[in-house]
Amino acid sequence: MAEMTPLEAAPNDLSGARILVVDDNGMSRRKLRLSVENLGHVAEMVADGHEALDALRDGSFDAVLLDILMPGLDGFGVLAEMKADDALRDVPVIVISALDDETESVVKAIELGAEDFLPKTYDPVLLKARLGASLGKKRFRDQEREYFRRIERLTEAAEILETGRFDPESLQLEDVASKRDPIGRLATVFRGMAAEIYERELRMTRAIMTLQGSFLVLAVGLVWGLTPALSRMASGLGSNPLGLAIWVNGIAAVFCLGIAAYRGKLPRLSWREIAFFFYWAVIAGILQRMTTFVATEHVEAAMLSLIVTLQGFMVFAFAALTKMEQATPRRLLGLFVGLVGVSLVLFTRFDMADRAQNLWLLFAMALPFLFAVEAIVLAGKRPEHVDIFASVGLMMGISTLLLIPWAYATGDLMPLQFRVGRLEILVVLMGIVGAASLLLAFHLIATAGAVFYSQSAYAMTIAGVVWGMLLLNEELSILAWVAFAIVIVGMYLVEPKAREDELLIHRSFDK
Amino acid sequence: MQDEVIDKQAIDRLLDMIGGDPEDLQELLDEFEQSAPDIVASMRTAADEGDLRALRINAHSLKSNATDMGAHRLSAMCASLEAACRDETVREPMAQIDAIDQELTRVRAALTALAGPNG
Repeated sequence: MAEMTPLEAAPNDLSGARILVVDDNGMSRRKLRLSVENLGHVAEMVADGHEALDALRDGSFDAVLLDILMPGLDGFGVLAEMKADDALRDVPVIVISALDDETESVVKAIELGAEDFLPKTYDPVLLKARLGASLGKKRFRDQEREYFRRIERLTEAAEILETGRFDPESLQLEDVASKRDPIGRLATVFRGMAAEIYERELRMTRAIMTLQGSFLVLAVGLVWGLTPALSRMASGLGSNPLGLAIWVNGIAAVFCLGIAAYRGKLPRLSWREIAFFFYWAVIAGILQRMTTFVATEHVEAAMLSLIVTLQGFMVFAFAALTKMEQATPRRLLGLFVGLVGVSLVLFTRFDMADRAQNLWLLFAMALPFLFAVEAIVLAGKRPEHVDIFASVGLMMGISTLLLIPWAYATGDLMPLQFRVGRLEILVVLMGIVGAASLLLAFHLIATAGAVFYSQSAYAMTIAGVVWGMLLLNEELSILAWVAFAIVIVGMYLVEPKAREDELLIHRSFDK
Repeated sequence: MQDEVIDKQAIDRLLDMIGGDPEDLQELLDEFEQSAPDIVASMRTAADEGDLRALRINAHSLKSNATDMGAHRLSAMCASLEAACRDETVREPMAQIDAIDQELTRVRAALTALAGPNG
């Protein structure tokens, strides 16, 4: 939008208008400028028709005083060009002429769209009257045009609402609402109501998202927490951890890729994407597993579970540093509340007698670190076009292939019988559980963000305790349920990450 | 009044037109003083080159300026040249320009005399 002329800014005051004086004759130009300035206006002078058009297009003028006879583009030419230009059509032109011999010229100029004419030797009162009349008409036209423009903006805003976009910013009514006239007040009310509805929907959507996310976190925790219990059952049936992992991951890979293939979503991958899945498999399949093996031998199980829950804080720190997600005190407080809940369960199980483990505690910190790296990498770098089943299946498959040489070297390769026994059923079950937990985790990271997801470590730890009680007849403590409740309070505080896309509201008042 | 080279009432009218400030009027008189000989020179060039449009525009300018100064005879001479150019009936333009130049000299002398006693 062109800048406003003083006339547009203060329409009730006709003085201070910007007037363009066009005359090739230096003395006439100066005389007109002095007259115009004497009436309290601002005059700008140009010496020919082309300069006049350039000046008119550069800055906005309220009126033009135009000489007819000029070298180059004459007054008629200027008038014709102005009338052909939408932006200049409504700028009033007063033609300056020597009446005695130029009646024909005046007639022609008025036919071309000039507002009025003025003799070369004019009475200043006449100049004031004609200029005033022209400016008055222009002011009225400007106001009328501004009025319709604002009505149009309001109508557009209503149409935007129709598409379900209630976000006050997308309505773009600030301009219309800034004036305190009836249309401005209407726009203010209109925008206020839309904002109120938007805020309400936003709060509701966030509440639903937190609820869904919390449910998913608990589901991930419960499914993941099942793994240690199943592992212990499997080891009771004579399996070794590495051999078991190969079978479990392999079955999970076949399961996931099978579903992806069935849904016709096996992806084509670039080398960069293959590299991504390779790194993921190295972190989740090799590094995390090796660290777990070593740590479980030296660190007491309850303490290790507690250390693993530190991943929430690590993810939070990562996310804050990389600005991937909001890092608010409220979310940090939520993570602490969750930690309190988990500690409640674990401290009752500590065996503090073993002091030799102190250095190993430090080593065990690598485990939550690796989990945190995995969550952040998945949140920030996952190839979004690859189907969730294909993604998890690929990672599981690659990690299986990486584990086979390791197991071969340590003699841990574990042949299964084709005859279906308890161990075989258990292994298939573990494969499906492994796949399901990763799928849930992947979905959670994608929808709620890495920080919210990292709370699943709490749920997982507590669920591990609960499953142990249920499946292995370990002692059940009321404290475990209290801890669960506290972890859920933590989730409420952490909240899923904010949505990036605008919230659309489905209207119930459709035609 | 027709006998006078300069019509003082016209100068008063000019002063009225621009708002009554004598300094502004002096600015206009100076501008006339400087530009009028240039316009005559341009008229000669245009006449030399047979450029009727340029001759007409220059005659038109000097006519307007002369009117503002109250130099009615000068203005009338220019008007007649301008009309002849427009109707393409111009004859011996150089003689007319010489006459205009001589009248301009008288006008400038009268203006100087006018400005003299007043300051």
